[in-house]
Amino acid sequence: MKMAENILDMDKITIKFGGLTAVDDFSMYINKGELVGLIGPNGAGKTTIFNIITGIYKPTAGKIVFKGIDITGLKPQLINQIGIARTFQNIRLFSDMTVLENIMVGQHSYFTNRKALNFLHTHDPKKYPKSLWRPWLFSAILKTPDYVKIEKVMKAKAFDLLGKMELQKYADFKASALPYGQQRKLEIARALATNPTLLILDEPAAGMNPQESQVLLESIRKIMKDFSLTILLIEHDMKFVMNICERIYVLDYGKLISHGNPEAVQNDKKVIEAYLGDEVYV
Amino acid sequence: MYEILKVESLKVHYGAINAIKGIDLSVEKGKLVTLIGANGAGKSSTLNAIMNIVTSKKGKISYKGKDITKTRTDEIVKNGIVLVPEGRKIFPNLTVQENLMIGSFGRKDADIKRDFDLVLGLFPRIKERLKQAGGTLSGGEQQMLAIGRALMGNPEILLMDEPSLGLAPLLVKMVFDVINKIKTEGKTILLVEQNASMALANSDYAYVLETGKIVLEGNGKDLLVNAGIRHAYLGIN
Ligand SMILES: Nc1ncnc2c1ncn2[C@@H]1O[C@H](COP(=O)(O)OP(=O)(O)OP(=O)(O)O)[C@@H](O)[C@H]1O
Ligand SMILES: Nc1ncnc2c1ncn2[C@@H]1O[C@H](COP(=O)(O)OP(=O)(O)OP(=O)(O)O)[C@@H](O)[C@H]1O
Ligand SMILES: [Mg+2]
Ligand SMILES: [Mg+2]
Repeated sequence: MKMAENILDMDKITIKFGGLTAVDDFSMYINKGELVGLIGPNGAGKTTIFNIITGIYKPTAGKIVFKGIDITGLKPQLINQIGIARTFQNIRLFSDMTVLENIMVGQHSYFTNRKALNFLHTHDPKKYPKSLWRPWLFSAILKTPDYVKIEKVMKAKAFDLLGKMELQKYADFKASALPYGQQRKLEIARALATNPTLLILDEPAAGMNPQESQVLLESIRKIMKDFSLTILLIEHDMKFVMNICERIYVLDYGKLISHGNPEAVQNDKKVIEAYLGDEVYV
Repeated sequence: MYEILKVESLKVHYGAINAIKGIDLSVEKGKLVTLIGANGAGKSSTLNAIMNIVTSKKGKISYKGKDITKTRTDEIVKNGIVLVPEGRKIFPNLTVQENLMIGSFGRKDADIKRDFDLVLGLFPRIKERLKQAGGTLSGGEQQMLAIGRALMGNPEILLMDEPSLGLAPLLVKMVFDVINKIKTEGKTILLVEQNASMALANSDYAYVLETGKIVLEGNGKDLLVNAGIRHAYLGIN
């Protein structure tokens, strides 16, 4: 049996905002190919943890290691380039751009992958030889030094991503013209355009009815397989969380209060009291 | 029985897109009326048309028998219809307290302080954070603030666009308790919700929107047991 390969390791993370300790000595690991959930009451510190992983906030204490690299305090763009992409709880799309253009902006970040490659190469030249990392777009550029063609390839790939999220028919819509639920899916497609290995989703099912979140659940499973992703997600839709997550961390007032598989977490008295209430989720 | 809000033959278009294709709604005073429908069905467009935030529309909207189809949004608010908008729309650089005060803008009555205390009583978290910038609140805290800001307007009709969005399970319950409580004070609520089972179970009347048309209406509890609804909106087979 193959040993589980640890892709992300957060070690004793603390962050303070003035007098408020938003995250308090929190540790978490994620194995490659896992789908892990992060849940807890409003204001528990979940989004703050995402902001720390993606470099938006620098923790007051603690360390984050991604694929063996210490990423604590690195700039968000660099973290994205070395393989972590996210969606935002308060949707952040370019509202005046079309759906397709929004995805192409994501691809652009991927375009500048050279920087990330150099970073990794400097970090560990043996593990990251320059020859090893040649993403499709990079090679596309090398093969066809013709911008029209590059754009064609980008467009084709963008359409492909739209297809995966079932958004093709909206390609030429302005992002702001999309119904809320579809904007959430576009955020996922845009994050995917940056070619991540770890995808982190902040409330992907918010604004969807149970039927729609079921469909979303299927598409997340599908992209996970198609892109060999590892996924970490925050969600308040408990049916969604309990169905899709393999492992769940529960946070309350910045502290870990429970951790385990969906069944264990669901039956944990502390979780019921602080978060779930007495409802039963399948 | 008194019809406080009436929507007749409403149509909304965005350029070439016909988002609402002629709908009629009737909201009785003191009732909770719910609008459900899939992503893109036109729920937000309907609320935004009532508030006259969306102006590219046809048809007639009346409030207490008066035509308000073309009334300015701020006038509509002053007259007693307040919206909790989709996606919160908190002013990020203003403090929590300032955001709440904006909700009472234009009010001249003596009860502002009473409503302020009421909101802080409902949401203790908001009370703890009055000086924090609205934009740094967590998603759910912002949702509480958006609901609180609307209550600060002391509305006669509260329009709510997905108020449970981003709220933890226990708080979703609490928001429905709040909705029922303001109902007992004689207020009227027009609710848009993705949490359809919770919404239908609590509503007096409900409409189902599908691509800009009303395809079904009836008592909340009747719709809750309707097989088609259970499949399409509640995810139950
Ligand atoms: N920049 C900041 N300054 C002050 N307080 C902050 C700041 N950012 C976050 N907070 C506070 O830290 C706490 C944690 O916020 P966070 O956004 O991580 O919560 P969350 O678990 O994602 O909640 P929700 O489920 O409501 O989205 C909240 O109480 C929030 O108000
Ligand atoms: N500003 C806009 N410009 C162009 N089209 C728009 C605009 N706003 C909404 N639409 C379109 O109008 C239709 C109805 O959208 P609306 O936002 O009212 O749906 P909704 O029922 O509220 O959906 P959701 O559940 O996702 O919030 C959709 O087809 C949407 O694409
Ligand atoms: Mg959050
Ligand atoms: Mg809407």
